[in-house]
Amino acid sequence: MKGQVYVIDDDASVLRSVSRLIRGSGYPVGTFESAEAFLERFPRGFNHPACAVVDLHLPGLGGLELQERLAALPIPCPVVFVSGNGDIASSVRAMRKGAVTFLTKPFDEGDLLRAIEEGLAAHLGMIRDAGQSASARERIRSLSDRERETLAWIITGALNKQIAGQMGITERTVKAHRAQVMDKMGVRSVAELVRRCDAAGFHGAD
Amino acid sequence: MGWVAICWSAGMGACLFLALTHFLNWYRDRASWACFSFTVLVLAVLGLGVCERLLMVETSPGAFSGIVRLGHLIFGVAVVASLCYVHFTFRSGRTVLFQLAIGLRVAAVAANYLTGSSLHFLEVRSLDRILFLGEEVSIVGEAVPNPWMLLGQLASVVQVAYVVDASWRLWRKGGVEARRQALWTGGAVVFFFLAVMAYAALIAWSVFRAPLLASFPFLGIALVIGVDISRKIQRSAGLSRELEQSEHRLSLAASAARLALWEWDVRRDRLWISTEGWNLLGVAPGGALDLAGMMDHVHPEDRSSLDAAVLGAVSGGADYEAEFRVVRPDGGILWMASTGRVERDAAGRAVLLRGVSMDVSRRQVAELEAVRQRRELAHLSRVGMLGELSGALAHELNQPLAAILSNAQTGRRQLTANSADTGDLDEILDDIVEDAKRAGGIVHGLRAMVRKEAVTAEEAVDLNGVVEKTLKLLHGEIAVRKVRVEFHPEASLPGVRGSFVEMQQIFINLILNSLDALRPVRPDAPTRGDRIEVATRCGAGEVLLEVGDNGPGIPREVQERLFEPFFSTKSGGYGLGLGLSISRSIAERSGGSLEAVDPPDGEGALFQLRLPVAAEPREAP
Repeated sequence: MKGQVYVIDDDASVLRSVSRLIRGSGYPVGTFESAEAFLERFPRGFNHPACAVVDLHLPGLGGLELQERLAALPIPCPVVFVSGNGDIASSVRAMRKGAVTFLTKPFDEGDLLRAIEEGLAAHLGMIRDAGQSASARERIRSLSDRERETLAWIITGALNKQIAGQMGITERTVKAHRAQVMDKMGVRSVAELVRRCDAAGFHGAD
Repeated sequence: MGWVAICWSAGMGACLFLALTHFLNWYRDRASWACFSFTVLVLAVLGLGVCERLLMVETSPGAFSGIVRLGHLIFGVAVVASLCYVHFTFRSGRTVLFQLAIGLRVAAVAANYLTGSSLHFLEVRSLDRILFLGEEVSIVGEAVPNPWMLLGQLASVVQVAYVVDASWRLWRKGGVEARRQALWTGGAVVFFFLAVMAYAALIAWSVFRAPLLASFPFLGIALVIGVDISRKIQRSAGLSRELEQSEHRLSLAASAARLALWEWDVRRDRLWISTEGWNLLGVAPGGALDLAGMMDHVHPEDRSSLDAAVLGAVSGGADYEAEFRVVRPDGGILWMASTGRVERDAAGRAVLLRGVSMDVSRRQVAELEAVRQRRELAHLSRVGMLGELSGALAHELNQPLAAILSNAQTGRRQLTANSADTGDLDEILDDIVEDAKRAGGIVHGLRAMVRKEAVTAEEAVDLNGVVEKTLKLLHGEIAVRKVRVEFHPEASLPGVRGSFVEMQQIFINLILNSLDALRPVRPDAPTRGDRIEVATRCGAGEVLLEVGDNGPGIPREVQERLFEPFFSTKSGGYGLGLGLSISRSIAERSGGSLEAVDPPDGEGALFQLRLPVAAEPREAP
């Protein structure tokens, strides 16, 4: 799937030409003349893949400040910086804070589009991860207390006999719980189970 | 031949000679009243002598009376001439007394013709023959005295009083020459007047019997006056020698200072120039020169202003002052500074324009050199300023380039995709054209600032245009500093004198100073309420540009030092301290001023640039 691209630049003609370029490559584009306008429009970030192409020197809230705000979102929005006069200090700072890349105007379309693609892919990944962890948490919540306890032991790699000993129940009961857990978590192997628990941030009894 | 004939002939001869020479003197200098009255006096003495000689040989009483009457007229003329001489050479007598004396003498002459047979006698009945100086001559025998004779005596008293008064006042004025004149000339005139009076009275009342003798006392007066005049001539010869010497000294000084003296006779349009003047013109001295001829030597560009200066002095009453170039026959050019003053006649008409011109070429060349150096300095500072701004300027240039590149690449993609939709392509090309023009405009503006000769021509500059274009150019820099710039233009602003580039230089300086005052160059500094306000206003004959900020402001003790060269408040060697000093010199060169003033609300700094409105109205855009 293709994501949404947002261009934030105070120069009208740059805004128009860059958005035209990106639109021509098949991405839907939204344009904003200031960081403030952009943040106002999307206060809670994005649950669709998105990427922001931001001019470093914006009047009012600057590009680097916008990057900070976007990084603070539940799912951070990737930023591609463009600047007419990039100094090294600013670009280093931007990259350290996780910018996809830093392009100097005038830039080549290939560089920009590659950066956008990269940004969108990263965002998509983040959204997917976020979705997975949400569903895993939901499944864990559907387990009974005994089943959840059993799950905690399973992901430590303990054998049924050990679990039965620890929990003071019979090995048969443990097997039954395990089957329930695998079923409710929707996994077939222990490895898969471990991965899902990891996504949900479940690390055992607590 | 007897003594009478000898004396009278000698006296008459002397009179004739004196009359002739002084008549010639007077003819040469018509304004000389002294010469004229002296000439009349000696002619009158001559007339008197002739009359007396005729009386001596006359035998008929009737004819005798007629000659006495004529003699009296001539006597009157002699008196008036003597009085005139005293009046015009002493210049100290009372005019009222002078007029009274003349008036009484004229009245006496009138009475001479209207009463009796003459002023002396009502009637001469007979003549006597007596021996006089060994010769038999006729004198009055039996005669009736004319009572109107008293009028003549009264006139004589008044004329003596006038001369005494005039001499006394001349004596009081002091000065060796004046006192000598008062004592000898005045005294002698008084003495001979009294002698004539006494003698005539004695004869008239027949106290003793002798012929009428007025010519000899008057000859005495004439001789004294003659001596007086010759002393004057002697003195004026000395004066002219001195004058010649002082002229010589003056011309020596003038030529040493390369000063040209000149005089222009306004009415006859004749120009006299000293030798040094001819040297400066590079022409051999001599030849008649009028104003038009002089103009031929003047550089064509300066003719109208020189003409205006001359006209202003002659008709306007101002002192003459002009600077112009002289083109010498060898093609060399000299700068002349010329000053002069008009002399006017009683009616206030200009008669003479006299003055001095100086070769100021060296000074002029030095001034031109100074101007050139100032421009050079301004240029260097401009180039330096551009260096300081290079980042912002690169940003400004890269914006349109980025837009062009993106548009071009989009367009190419559309073409290779063989899309049937060309409407978009039109738009893309339009945008490319616009952005290319924008980039071109920026480069053009930069080139104008870097180029040297761009500023030499003064034009009518629209300050609003300067502000708008400069703010656009500095947009990037302002954005980096996170400062809000507000511009409040006056709607219809007249153009100011100056050059666009230099006005832009001043404005960039002011904006950069405000930006530096508000915050250092750090793109990540947090946003505050930093603000620069720019306004243009129209005043009386001038245009005002204000640049104010809400930064820390300028301490009072620094306010004037700001404009000193190499004075900078910017720390860390940032800034040479030349910006404001050069800006002010540009403003002053254009006839304006640049000041730091106290902001009305007491916050931040405020700079005011005042520039005179350009002469011709700005063309409508």
